[in-house]
Amino acid sequence: MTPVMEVSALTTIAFWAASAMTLGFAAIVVTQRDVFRAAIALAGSFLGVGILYFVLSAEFVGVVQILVYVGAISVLMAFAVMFIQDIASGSRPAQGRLVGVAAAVLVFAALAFTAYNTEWSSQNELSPDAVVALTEGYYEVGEGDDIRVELTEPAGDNDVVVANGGAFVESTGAVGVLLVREYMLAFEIIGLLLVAALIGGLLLMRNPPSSNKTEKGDASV
Amino acid sequence: MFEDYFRQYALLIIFAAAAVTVPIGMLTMSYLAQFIKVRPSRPTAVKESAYEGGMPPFSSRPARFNFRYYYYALLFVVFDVETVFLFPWAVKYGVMSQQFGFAALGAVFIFLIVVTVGYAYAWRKQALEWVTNDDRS
Repeated sequence: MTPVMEVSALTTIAFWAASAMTLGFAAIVVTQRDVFRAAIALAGSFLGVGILYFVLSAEFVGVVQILVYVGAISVLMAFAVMFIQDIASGSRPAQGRLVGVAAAVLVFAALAFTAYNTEWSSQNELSPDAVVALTEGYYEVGEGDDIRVELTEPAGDNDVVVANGGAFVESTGAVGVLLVREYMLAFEIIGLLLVAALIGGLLLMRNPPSSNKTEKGDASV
Repeated sequence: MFEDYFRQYALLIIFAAAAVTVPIGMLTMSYLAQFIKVRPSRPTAVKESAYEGGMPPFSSRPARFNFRYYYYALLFVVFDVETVFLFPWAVKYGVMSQQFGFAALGAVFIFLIVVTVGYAYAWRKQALEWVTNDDRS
């Protein structure tokens, strides 16, 4: 059985470069005393993780990583840092360094244990057809509720034929189809969740605890 | 298939490399030019101060920002996450509209209406206003 993903030299180089970028920026985050520079370096580390996702051909996860983490989370952290009264003096030496080291070692041990004990070759349990569909792509014939899946392009059919790249190479499109087809309700509920997050965030930021004046202002809106 | 996948990102890598090299190269060339007496280097305190609209700077770099900027950061994060869900749909919309017709558009339309309710709430609660009624009174 051929492996699902052949590792080329280019993949190996990209993997090591992205890993070095991730770890290098992460090292800057923990050693840099200027909190703002540490936040910028953390964004670089996030970007390295995003590149790793692209190397693993998980395009959608990579795009999410760059949009949400490099874009949004970094902005939030940069803003949070800029609200700090006293940036110039930098972060103080950490309290309880021993506890921190112990926690880091435990987390690393748990991750390493999981990675070591996972059966990574689960691709061999897939049927050959599934492997072809995931790597080479497949064809969907028909429309609406009446769609069948074929591995080769059907000839002489009047139905709508849609060529799909395999999910391993075209993960973004596959996720998009799933969002609109199988998980449409979940998709709409995500919208509701976003609204709830927005309202919750706005409520938390309003009403400075000092006075009731803001409360009155709210009522008059 | 995988060769195609990596080939399209090779273009991106070349683009990123050019985008990083050009500004860094310009700064490096400018720095090196002072050694061959092309660019004189006579730094003064005024030249080295941070540029603040032509005025002498009021404060050093670590200035505190107004807390109200956080409203915009929060709104940005929420609508950034919204984009994450629109992106895979937009990639496949062309073929999905063939297969499912109006349903492919309707699902996202409902999603957008729901999220717009959040935007309307923020608008109504004056989260987008810089000066609110509280400040004027």
